[in-house]
Order: sequence, then C-alpha cells, then structure tokens
Amino acid sequence: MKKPTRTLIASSVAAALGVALLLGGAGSLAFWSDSSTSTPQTISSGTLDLGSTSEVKIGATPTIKNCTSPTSCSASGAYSGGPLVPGDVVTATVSIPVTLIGQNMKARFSVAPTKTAGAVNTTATEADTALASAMTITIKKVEQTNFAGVADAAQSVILSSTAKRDIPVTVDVSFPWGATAGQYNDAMGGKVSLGATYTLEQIPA
Amino acid sequence: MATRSSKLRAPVTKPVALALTALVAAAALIGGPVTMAYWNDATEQTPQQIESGLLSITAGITATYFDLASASDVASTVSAPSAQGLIPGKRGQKITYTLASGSGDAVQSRILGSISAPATSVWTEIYSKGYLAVNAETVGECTVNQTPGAPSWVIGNAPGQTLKPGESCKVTVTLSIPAVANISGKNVDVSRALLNLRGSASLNPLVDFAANATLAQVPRAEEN
Repeated sequence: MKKPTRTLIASSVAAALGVALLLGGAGSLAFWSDSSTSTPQTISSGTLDLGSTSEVKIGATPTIKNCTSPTSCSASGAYSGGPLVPGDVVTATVSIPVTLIGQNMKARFSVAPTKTAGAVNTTATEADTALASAMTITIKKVEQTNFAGVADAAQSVILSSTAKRDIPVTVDVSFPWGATAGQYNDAMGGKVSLGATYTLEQIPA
Repeated sequence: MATRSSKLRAPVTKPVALALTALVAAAALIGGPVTMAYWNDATEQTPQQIESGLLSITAGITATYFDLASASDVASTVSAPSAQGLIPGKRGQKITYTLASGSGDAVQSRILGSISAPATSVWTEIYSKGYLAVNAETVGECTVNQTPGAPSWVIGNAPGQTLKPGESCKVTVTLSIPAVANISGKNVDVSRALLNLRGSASLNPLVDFAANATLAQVPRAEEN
C-alpha cells in the first residue's frame, strides 16, 4: 500500500473513532446528569366584583335638614321616609360591596346617580315630572374621598386590591327651596324614583 | 380548463386568508379596550321612591245677622232676604272667613291675605261719612290689621306664629250702622241719610266683601 493511501485510511479511522466517542459521550459517558420535576404551582386569576343589588344596603339612618340657602339650614334629624318639601336635604349613606383580588389589581369605582319621574313602572304625572326636574342627587363622599358636590354628576375613586368589603357612598338628595315663592308648586304631590349605577372598571396598575 | 382554473384559484386563496386574519386581528384590537382587555362589573341600586308633600289652603265664609240690642246672632238665610241687610240701629252683620291649612300638609306655613270690598260710590260715601261701624277680629293663628282710613284689612301672622297642618285662622268682620251718628258735633239721622244716598229703601246690595289669602311654607328652622 502506498503511503498516501495508508495515511488516508488512518485519518478516516481516527475521524470515525472521534465521532463515535463524541456521540457516545453525549449519551451517557462524558459527564453526570440528574433531573427532577418541581411541584406544580397553580396560578389563579384575580377577581373584580361588585356585590349584587340585594347586597347594596342603606347604612346609618338617613338624616334630613331644611335649607333655604347652602348656608342656612335647620338642624339635622332622622329621616323617617315622609314626603319632602322645598328646602329638604336628605343625606344617606349606601354601602356597596366590592371585591378586588390580584397583586396588580386597581379599579375605578364610579357612582352615577339616576332619577326617574314617577313611581317604578307607572306613567309619570305632571307633578312627577316637575319633581324629578326640581330634585337633585349629589355624591358627597365615596369612602374617604370628599367631593365638591356637583348635582346629578357621576363621581369616581380609585380602589386597590382588597378582599370583599363595603364601600360607603354618601349622597345628598335635595329639593331646592326655590328662588321665588311658589317656584316648585307644580311639584306638589309628585313622586320620583332615585337610584344609582355603580361601576367597577379595572385600570392599569 | 380545470387545471387552469385551479391555477387561478391558488393565488386568490392567499390574499383572502390574509385578509381574514387581518380582520380577526383588527377585531381583537378594537374589541380589546372595550370589553376584553380588562375587567369591569356594574350593578344598579334598586330605585328608592321619594314623594313631595303638600301645602294647601281652604277658605270658607259664613254670615250672621244680629240684633244690635241683643247679644244673640241670627243665622243668615238666603231665602229670607227680609231678614237680611243692615238696619240702622237695629241689625248688624258678622261675616266670618275661615282660612285653613290642609290637615295633610307637610309643612307649617304663614298666611298673608286681605279682606276688602270694591269701592262703590255709595259704599265709599257711607263709610267716609262715618255712618258705618266696622271691626275685625281673629280667632286662631293669625292677626288682622285694618288699612288706615278704609274698610279693608290685612291678614298676617304675629312674629313666630305659624299655621300647623290643619290649623285655621278665622277673621270675623262686624258691620253695623247706628240709628244716629254724631258727625262733627251734630246728630244725624242715619236712616234718612242713607235713604237719601241710595235713593231707595228696598234691599239693595251695597258691597261684597271678599277675602283672599296665601299660605307660604315656613323653613323648618322656623317651625314651632
């Protein structure tokens, strides 16, 4: 066999052996290894929830006072639910159950007052319509946040993650005294249905 | 032909698929901020019904005649005109106005009103010559003050006085004509003088007194 031929054969054998060693090492021989599987970690999604209508409750006894101007009012007393007259301001606190669960959970809690002339599911009379027009609902306070008090305007606060708890919302229901005698005479004997829509909306943390 | 058709279809399928994918992606992007990308919840409070109260006034009138020489009154009856009318020195008249706040009213109120009569020439003459004696007094939650120099009155309330629901204010106007009036130091036979003024001795209405009044709501801070 000529030298170049021997050299070529020797090189081929060496290369083949090298490949075999490399392959074998990768499989089981060249280094140690071990493996284990961790206990599964369960990730839960959070919760954003407003209580149902039945859970919404009126807090401490509503109070009533009579004001001929913003700075001239009678002393407050317990409101027993009787008919309102011009100047009356009824203050009530409603508790809204809220649940916000999640480390980065933040939400805007909004309260939008609503009023409808007449009793629920009845045709409004002229007095009902006049009363609904005259009366105002003002959100005064949501939890610890006080508001300047814009009549019939929605208000909102930002809430952070919390287990289920009640958010107190304080509202004033006002029947204005009027600028002139008899201004609201057409609202005598009227009925109005007052309510509110509560919204909880997630915002970026 | 079929082969050609199939070749034509192939390039069309890709753009359609791409368009659909884009559409779905766009819908997901648009829909996300509104309803899908974050959570929200809402609830409505059960409406609470509020009612407004009332403030009302009712007015009534009664008239009685009385014998000037007696303390007893005689009820007025429309069907017996001969029993009515002022007779100088003989018969006087009392007119009582009852002004009441409604029993179902929601507030206390103050009253403001008047009692007056149209100024007919004969009536004015009789009064101005001093032939007519008039007086008004109240029972209940009001006061009455005569307008100086005129047979008319203003009804009101004393300071701090209010009408509670169902309460009333009664104003009685008493009218009489004396048989003889002393005018400027002279005794005048009023019967004759009236006959001369009216031109007739028959029953003839001289005047109609009318009362009108308004109740105004009292701020609760001023209720008593």
